[in-house]
Amino acid sequence: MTTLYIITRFLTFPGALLRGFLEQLICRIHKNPVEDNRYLRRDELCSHIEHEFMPKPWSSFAICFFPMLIQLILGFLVSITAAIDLLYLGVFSWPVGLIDLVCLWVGVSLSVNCFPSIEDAINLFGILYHSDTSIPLKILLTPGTLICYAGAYLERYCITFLTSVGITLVLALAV
Amino acid sequence: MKEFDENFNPTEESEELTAEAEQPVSLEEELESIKDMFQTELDNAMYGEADDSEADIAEYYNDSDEADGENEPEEEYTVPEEDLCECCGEKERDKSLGDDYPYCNDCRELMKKYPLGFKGIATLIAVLVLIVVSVLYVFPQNLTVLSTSLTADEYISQGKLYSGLYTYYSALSSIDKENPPKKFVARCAKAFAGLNDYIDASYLAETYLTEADLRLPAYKELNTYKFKSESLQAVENAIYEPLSKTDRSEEDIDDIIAILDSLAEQEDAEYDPFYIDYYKYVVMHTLGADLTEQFDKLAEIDEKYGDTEWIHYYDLCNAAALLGHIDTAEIYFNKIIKINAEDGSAYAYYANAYRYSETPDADKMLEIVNKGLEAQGNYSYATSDLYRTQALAYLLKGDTDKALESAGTMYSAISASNYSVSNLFESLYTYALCALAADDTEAYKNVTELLKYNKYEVPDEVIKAAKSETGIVNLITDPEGVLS
Repeated sequence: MTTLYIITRFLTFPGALLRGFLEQLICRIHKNPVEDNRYLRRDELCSHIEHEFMPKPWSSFAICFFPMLIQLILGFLVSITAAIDLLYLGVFSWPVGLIDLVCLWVGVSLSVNCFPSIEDAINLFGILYHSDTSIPLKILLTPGTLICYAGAYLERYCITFLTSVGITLVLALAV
Repeated sequence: MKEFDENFNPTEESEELTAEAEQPVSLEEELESIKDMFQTELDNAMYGEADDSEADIAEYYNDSDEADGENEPEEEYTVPEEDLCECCGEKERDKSLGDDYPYCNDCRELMKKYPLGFKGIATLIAVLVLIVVSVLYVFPQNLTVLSTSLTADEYISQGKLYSGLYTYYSALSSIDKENPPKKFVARCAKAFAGLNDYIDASYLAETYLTEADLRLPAYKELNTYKFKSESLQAVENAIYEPLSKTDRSEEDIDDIIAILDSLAEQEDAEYDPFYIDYYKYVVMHTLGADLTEQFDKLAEIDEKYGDTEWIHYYDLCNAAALLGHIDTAEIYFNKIIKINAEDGSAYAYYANAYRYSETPDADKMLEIVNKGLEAQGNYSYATSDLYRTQALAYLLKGDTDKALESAGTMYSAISASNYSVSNLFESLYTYALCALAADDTEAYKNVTELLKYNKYEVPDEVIKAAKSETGIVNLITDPEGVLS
C-alpha cells in the first residue's frame, strides 16, 4: 500500500509539494520545529513534512485543516475553467485545451493531496478529546477534525486519488 | 615509620606528605568533633535547649563535603554518545522535552526557522499563475457558449422547453464547426429530443459529432435519437402513399396497419416499436375511425410506452376532450405542461374538453385559453389554436364581435406563419363562421378567397349554422363536425 501511496503522490506531485509546503508554512507560523522538509520522499510521509507534534489544539488543528482548505480552494479555482471547457462544454482546442488539461490535472492533484498525515490527524484527535481543551473549542473544531481524521485515512489508502480521478472521469464521460 | 622500599621515590613521598599536610582536619580531630557534637545534642535533648543544632549539623556536613571535594581531582564532563543531539551530534539532547527527545536546544531553535523549500514556493507560484491564466485567458474563450448553455439549462429545468431550445439554437450559429463544444451540441440535441423532434436532434449529432464521439458514453443518448429519427422516417415513408390517396376510407385502416406490422417483422432492419404502434393510431385518426376506438388505441399505447414516450399525450388530451371527458383531458393536460410549461397546444386541447362536454362552459374555455396565451410567451406555435378556441368560446357566449376579433387575430397568426392552408381548414372555417355571425362581409370575402385560391370552399354546414344561435352552438359542440 505504501508503494501505491508513493506512486500516487508522485503522479500528483504539484499537490504533494504544495501540501508539504503549506504544512511547513503553518509550522513556521506556530514556531514548531521542522525536522525534515523534503516534500516528496519515498516513504509514508511523502507529501508531508516531518515535524514535531503541535502541542496546542488550535495549532494542531491549523496544520491539519488550513492546508486542506487552501488546497481545496486553489484546486477549485485552478480547475473550474478547465472543468467547464472539457467536462461541461466538451470543447478542446489548441492551445486552450492544453492549458485546460494542465489545469485539470493540477486541480485534481491538489484535491488528492489535501488531507493531513494520519499522525497529525491522530495527534489532533488526541489533543482535542483527551486533554483539558475547553468544550466550546471542542465543539468548534469537531467538524473540521472529523473531516481531517477521515480524510487522512482515505488519503493513506489512496481513496482520495481514486475518487478524485474517478469523479473527473465520470464527469468527462457522463455529463 | 615507613619500611625501606627499593622503589622508594622521594618525590612521591614528598607529594604524599604534602597532601597529608594539606588535609584541614585529621581523623582524630574529626572523631573529637563528632564526639562534641553528639555530646551537645545529648545535652540539648536532656535540657530542652533546642537551638540551631540542625543548622550546625548541616554546616558541619557541608564543610566536610567541601573538604572532601578539595581532595578529589577535577574531571572534564563528557556527554555520553547516546545523549548526543541527533542533528548536530555535538551537544547534549534537550531532555526537558522528554527523555527521548533527540535534539539539542540550539538545533531545535534552528528547526523552528527551517528554510521553506524552493519546490513548494515554485509550486505555489505556478498554481497561482495557472489560476490567473485560466481566469484571464481561458475562461473568456467560451464565455458566450457557457452563458448560453447555463441560461438554456435554467429554462429547461423550469420546464420551459421552447425557451431552452431557442436559447441553445441561437448560439449554434456562433460556434466553431471545426471544433464545436460537443457537450453543448449534445444538450442542444437533447432539447430537440425533449420536444419529440428526433429528426433535428439527430441532424445536430451527425453534423457536429464524429462517429468516434458517438461511441463515447457521454454521447450514447444521441445514437438513440438517430434510431428514433430513422424509425420515424421509415414509418412515415411506409404509410405516406396509402394515406395520401384521395379516395381513402375507413376500410383502408386494416390494410395500412398491415403495412406497419410488416415493418415490425422486418429482419434486415429494426424500427422503434413505439412509432409503429403510434402511427397505427395516426392512421385510425386520419381515416376517421370511431373516437372511442381511437381513444382506446391511445390508452393502449400509453400503457405500453407511457414511461418513456409522451407525444401521444396530446392525442390523448384531444381525444378525451372530443369525448367530453374533462377529467381525463385534465390528466394529460397536466402531464404535458409538466414537461413543457410553455406548450399552448395543451391549453387549447384542454379548453376543448369544456366545449364538448354535456354542458359546454364558455367561461372556463376562455379562462384556460387566456392562461395558455400567457404561458406560451413568445412562442406562437399554438397562437392560432388558442385564438380559434377563444373565438369559439365567444360564439358560444353569443358575443359575435369579440369572436370575430379573436378569429381575426387567429387569421393574422396563420398568415404570419408558413403553415400549409390544407392543415388549417378548421381555423379558416371558424373564421368564416365568425364573419357570418358578425355580418362582416369583408372578412368573409377574405377567407372565402383564400379557400378558393387553394381550391376549397366554406362548407354548407357552416353557412347554415351561422343563420341561428342554436345552429352555431350545435356546430361548435359537435365533436365530429367540420369545426372539430
